[in-house]
Amino acid sequence: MQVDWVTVKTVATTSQSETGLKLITVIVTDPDGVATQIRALRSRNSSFEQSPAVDLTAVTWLGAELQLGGSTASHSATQLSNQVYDAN
Amino acid sequence: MNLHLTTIARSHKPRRGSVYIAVLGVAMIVSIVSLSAMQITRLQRKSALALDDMAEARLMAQSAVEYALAQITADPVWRKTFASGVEYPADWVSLGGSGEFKFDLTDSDGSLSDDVNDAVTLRGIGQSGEAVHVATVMLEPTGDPLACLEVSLCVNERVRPEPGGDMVTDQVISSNDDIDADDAPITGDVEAVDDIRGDITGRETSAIPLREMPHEHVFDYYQFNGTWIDVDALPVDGSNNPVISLVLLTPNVNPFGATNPAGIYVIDCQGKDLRIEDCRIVGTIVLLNPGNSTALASSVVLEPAVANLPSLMVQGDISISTNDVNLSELDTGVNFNPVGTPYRNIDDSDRSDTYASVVRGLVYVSGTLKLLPDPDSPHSRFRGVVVCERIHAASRVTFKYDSVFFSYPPPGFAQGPEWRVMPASWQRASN
Repeated sequence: MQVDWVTVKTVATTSQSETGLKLITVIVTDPDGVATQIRALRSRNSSFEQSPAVDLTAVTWLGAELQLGGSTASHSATQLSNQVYDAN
Repeated sequence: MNLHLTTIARSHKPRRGSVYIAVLGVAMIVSIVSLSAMQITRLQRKSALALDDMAEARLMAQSAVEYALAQITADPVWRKTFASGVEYPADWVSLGGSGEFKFDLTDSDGSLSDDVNDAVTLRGIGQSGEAVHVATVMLEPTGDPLACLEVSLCVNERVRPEPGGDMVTDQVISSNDDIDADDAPITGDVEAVDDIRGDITGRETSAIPLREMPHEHVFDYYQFNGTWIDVDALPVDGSNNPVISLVLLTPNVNPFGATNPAGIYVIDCQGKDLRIEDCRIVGTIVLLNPGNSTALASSVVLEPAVANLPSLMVQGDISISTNDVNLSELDTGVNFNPVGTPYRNIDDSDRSDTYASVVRGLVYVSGTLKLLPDPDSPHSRFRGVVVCERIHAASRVTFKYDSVFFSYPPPGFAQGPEWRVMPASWQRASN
């Protein structure tokens, strides 16, 4: 994984100093050596950076596993944009 | 011997055809299976690529939101830089992968720059391959508190206590119009944008600047972050009107459904006359579409669960005829301070305590606040800030000011170029 500060006007330009906007690159290589890369931006003023008004436990990630009989299980997961209060 | 050979020869002729047909059939079956497998593989690959595109488009839409947040943070005059409903930037932005994005900012009145109090909808549009994903979030202004929070009672229209009314304040009663105390007295300081007259004991200040009132989006945060209570799930009285009575409602206790950690409970009254009486509420009650006779009555102990959040918000009109008769556990048979919900730091399991009937916190009524006398004890008490569009004051009512709301304005009660993402406002939208 690589995190770079990028200029706000042109996200293609990396910066050595904080700009308020991060470019996050994640590269995953599978056992066959095939690499998959995804990129996304994260702002300093993102909702993920805001403190909640009250202390709470929140669910921020949801994953699922599906398996039929003895076959190989499939996995999928996603982040939750809206943090969900955890009642448990 | 010949006969035997002939017999064999005859029996071989049909066998050769059968084998041929069988081989042909098997070959066709193998071909069909092979072609089907190839087709299935192609479909699976296409599906996998489509899923990849969908995931990439979703990531691009989220990145578009983040990009827009960085853009408007870096630009103090962003409300003038961007136009409502126009996609930015002109060219799609790519992060080096297969996806790209744009964003737009939309003010519901069509202009971003006409009012710094307006909430804004930010739309991030991401695309990859044939997949398009649109994510929206609400941006709410933060910064300076609205001026209406600076006084104990702020009314946008004229303040004119009715005969039998008696308005008392330890601070200031303010009107964005006139104050007329000819029919009933006002005890305390008053101020008005226009004229002041009548029986007023305190200092009179006229020609003040208009005090900024909350705007139409003031309810948004609470609707996004509140727990909704179905009005049809509430008990009803003899007239089939919903009532909240003889209950405790707090962040930990909600007899009508799920709890909310900030104690924000939203009720869409659907035009019904909801009556809230003889109960203790620790939280923020948000009433939408209340009926004409919706009321807070009798002994009610109301306070916010979070110090600077409102305790009551009404989108419309409400009557308040609370009294100063203590709420009694003995009389109601309800323990209003069970373990986990202390009152003045004390919780217990008995039913012998009493509680002063008072509405604490910030009360906002977008329509008319009707203060009506309770026949038993005509004295409503507010401690905090009361803000309303209009007031009909026909009872004895005391307003004690609390500056916490001006010092730490709650969501929807601030203005300025600063903003924040409204929590829980992320939505997937159609493009």
